[in-house]
Amino acid sequence: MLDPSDTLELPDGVRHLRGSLVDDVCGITSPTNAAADEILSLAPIRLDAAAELLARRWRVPAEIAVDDALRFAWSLNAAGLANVRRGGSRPARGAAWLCGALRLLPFGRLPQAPARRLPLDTSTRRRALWCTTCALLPRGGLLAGLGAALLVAAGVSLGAVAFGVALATGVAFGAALIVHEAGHAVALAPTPAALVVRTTRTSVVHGPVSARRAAAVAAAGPLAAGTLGFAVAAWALHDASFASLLAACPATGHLVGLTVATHDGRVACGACDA
Amino acid sequence: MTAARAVVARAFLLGAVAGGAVGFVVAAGVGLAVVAAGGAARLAIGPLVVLEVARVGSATSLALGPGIGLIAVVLGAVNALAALVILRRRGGLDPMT
Repeated sequence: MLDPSDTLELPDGVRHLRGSLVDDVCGITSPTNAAADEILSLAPIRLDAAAELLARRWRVPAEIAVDDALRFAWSLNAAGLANVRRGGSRPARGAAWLCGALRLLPFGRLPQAPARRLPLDTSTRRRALWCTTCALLPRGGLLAGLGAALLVAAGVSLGAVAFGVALATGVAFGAALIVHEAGHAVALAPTPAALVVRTTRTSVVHGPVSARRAAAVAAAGPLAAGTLGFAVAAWALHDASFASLLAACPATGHLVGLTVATHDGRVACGACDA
Repeated sequence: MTAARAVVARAFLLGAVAGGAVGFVVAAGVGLAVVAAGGAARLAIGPLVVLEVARVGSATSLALGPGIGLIAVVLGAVNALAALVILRRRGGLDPMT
């Protein structure tokens, strides 16, 4: 869901050369045509300015140029090769998102927000851990807040769990996500990597590594979160604390990521490529 | 075929780890809930005890048994089977070998 007031920009690790877009992190070079070169050479560029450029330079009707510019930005963003800085005010964006959500309601879908690619310093394991934690704090916080709100609303109102327990379990949802992705990043060090945050998915993208290393990196995320959850659960059992056990569940649930039901699991088993 | 065996072995191991850990936490959760409710329970798969909550006087004991190991093995086998199916669909495994 993009708007002409949004700005297309190249993230760290992606550079434009005439005729190609080079992803230094993943080691991929994508060819670009003349129109893409025109736009990318001016990045960061507002999408309405990009559309105007296309209309003037390639003599296409204004509305088609706007459509082309939005599609171009969307495809680059979906491939993790460009970020889109949102224009307009937050309330206006929120209202547009709500309208989109209502239109998509019959299809059971939600409007997709643009992905955001964030740089990761994986030169050392310690830096990888710190960088991933900092980059994912907003996403982890959001997940923790949503989880806590849902659990407080459901659990506390039904009298099933105490307020503090619901809050701790909600926070555990966010913390488990951070630990999971940090596990991938730490296992990747010192291979260059970047974090791509989508609406419902967070992933660490990286350059080519051997199949064995790819499997180890894929397993490291679920194992990191799962081990933490399992340790908390074991401690909770020793302490006979149902509250602590409940808080351990989100992190332990990440161990499902070791099975072929998930992409991480399939890569970890060697059943598919990274 | 050796590569396929390695994939299946790895899938079994990872599935068993995931199944064992998740089974342990679920069993512990059920056990603690039973303890909190002041009841007693015994959950077993055949002769293998998964969970046992017993009350002797005012004392309550909670024990997790080897049944969790069986759950881990079963889930590991299911994961290995699923990995084999994925490999065949991808054409990474020759059914004639």
